[in-house]
Amino acid sequence: MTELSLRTRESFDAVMRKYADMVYRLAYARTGSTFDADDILQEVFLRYIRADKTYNDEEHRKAWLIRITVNCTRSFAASAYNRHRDLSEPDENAGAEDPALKAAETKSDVMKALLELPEKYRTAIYLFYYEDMSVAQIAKSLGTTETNVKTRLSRGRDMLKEKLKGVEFDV
Amino acid sequence: MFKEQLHTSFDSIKPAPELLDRISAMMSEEAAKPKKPIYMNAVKYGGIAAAVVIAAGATIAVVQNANNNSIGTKNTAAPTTAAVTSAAAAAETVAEIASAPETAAADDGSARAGDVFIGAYVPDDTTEMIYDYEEPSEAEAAEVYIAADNASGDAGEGGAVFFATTTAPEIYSAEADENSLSGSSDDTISLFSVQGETHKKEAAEEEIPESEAPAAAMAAPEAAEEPQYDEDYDECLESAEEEYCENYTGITPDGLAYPEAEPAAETEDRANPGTGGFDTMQFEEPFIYQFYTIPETLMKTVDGIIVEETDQWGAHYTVMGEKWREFIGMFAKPTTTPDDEDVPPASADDPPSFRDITAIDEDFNIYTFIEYFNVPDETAREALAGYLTEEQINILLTGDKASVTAEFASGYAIVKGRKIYAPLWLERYSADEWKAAGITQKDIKEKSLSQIPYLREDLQKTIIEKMNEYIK
Repeated sequence: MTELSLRTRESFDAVMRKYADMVYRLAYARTGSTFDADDILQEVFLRYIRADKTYNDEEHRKAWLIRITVNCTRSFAASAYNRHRDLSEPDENAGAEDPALKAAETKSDVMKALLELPEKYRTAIYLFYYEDMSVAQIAKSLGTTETNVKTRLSRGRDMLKEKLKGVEFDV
Repeated sequence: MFKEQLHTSFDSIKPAPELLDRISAMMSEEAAKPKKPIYMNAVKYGGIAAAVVIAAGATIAVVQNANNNSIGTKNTAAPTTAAVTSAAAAAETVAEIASAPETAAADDGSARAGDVFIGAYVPDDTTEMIYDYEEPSEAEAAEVYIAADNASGDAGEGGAVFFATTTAPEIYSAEADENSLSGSSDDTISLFSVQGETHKKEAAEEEIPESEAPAAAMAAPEAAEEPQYDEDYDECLESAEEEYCENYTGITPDGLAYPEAEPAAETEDRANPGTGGFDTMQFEEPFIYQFYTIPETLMKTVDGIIVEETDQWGAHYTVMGEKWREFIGMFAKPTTTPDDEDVPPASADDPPSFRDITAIDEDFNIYTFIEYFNVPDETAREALAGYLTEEQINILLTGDKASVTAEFASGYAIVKGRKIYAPLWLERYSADEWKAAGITQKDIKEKSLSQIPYLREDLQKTIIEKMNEYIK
């Protein structure tokens, strides 16, 4: 990938393709559904193009996209439909095959355990271990304090250790 | 190690290629849409203000430091510079660039991009000259607002800009409004959305002495097609509470960052769902949506609900403040351990389910907001005007829970004094619990809950089953 311009207008498509996986995975990690992640991915990049802003550097752009993704999933969760949808209710897409969920069920205990964490722990763990973001970066992206992020990471790790007997964390 | 395992698991989670292609197409379509026609920004230094920012179908900005006439286009797309030294120079330049085929600018104070051009004017006695002109009233204010700021954030007054477009060749003047600022500093361009109303200002000669008016404004090129507003921009504005889209800071003629809320739905529509147009979910909920959706105008009556923050890059954005979290937290489901001090209280992410709500004070809504924050009646009335009908506001402000419950109940909720039982509640709870709540067969029949085409089929089925059980 060649270097992307920090001016959004000049390389929307290139930016989208560069960050699509990141946005999609984060959306998936937060919602646990690839169907929702599909919608959120579209929404994030529509907001990106509409914002048409200039970024200080690539890190700024990445953080912006992460924040928008978090906001989109939050809005999604708070939407009229999802706000009143109990977790116990069957999802309207339950009949359709969700490849990621299938993967979670059949291939990876780690993914399954992660998706079972409360959302705030899940997001922090995901950004820290998958996106290799620092505590400070996560705090900025989530609009919270570093202490909070550390707490979430710590509690998330504890929960994961409970779920995944014998798992080791390098931090 | 966990990290490796996580990577192994998540590496396979990717969007489908066809989805990316679809998004790419959507983005191209979006990029091709005309942007809001004009963005303006003024920068004021040392008491003399003048600046021009123009954009038409593109983000092009020109900012002038009136002290030294240096002009920058920092953080903007256009390699354009301009400066203003006198009104006459501005007029001349505007005349010259009006016929320029492309984006153009000159050192004497005006610039043009596409079909919009602008001449900034800095009279020697800024204050006196500016205020000689009739300022646009709130009602008839031009749709372009000038944002101004300096490094200390105290600029904003008195920046006069005359501008004209080929589609509206009159000259308009506007005064910088420091309240309209967000996220700008002395060397950062902020793009402010232009809201709603079309230019209604009188022609320039009524306001500006002809000798001082930029002449080119009169000699505007042929009108180009008016750029269309993108309604999605406004949607973005509405959802900007926790959004990071500072570029969309909206400025409406009344100074609000958000468009006014839609008026409340007519009562007869709520009682007669045959009129259509409602979300199915609304028939299942205890209250009409206006009740549990707190309008921004009401939120803004309390300090600390919506707050501005600045990120590490100096960009501003708004978030819901701590007070809001406290308020929402009162109704949140207990998803965190009580002794968990580091974990913030549950938020709107964890609202109570409408399946459990049986009273107006069990959820966050306009009633509980007013009560919790002790919003004075008149303030609330003003904030809710246009959002609710006058009758609804009157009832709300009586504070009488039974009356408020009855007024804001959704069409199919059963109201028993201060208690309310929505179809969602009936679905969740057993027939015995219906009885315990004092719900009678007559109540159910009156609402014809088993025959409402708008209710979910499974909900209807459940209610019918419970009705049969109830009768037994």
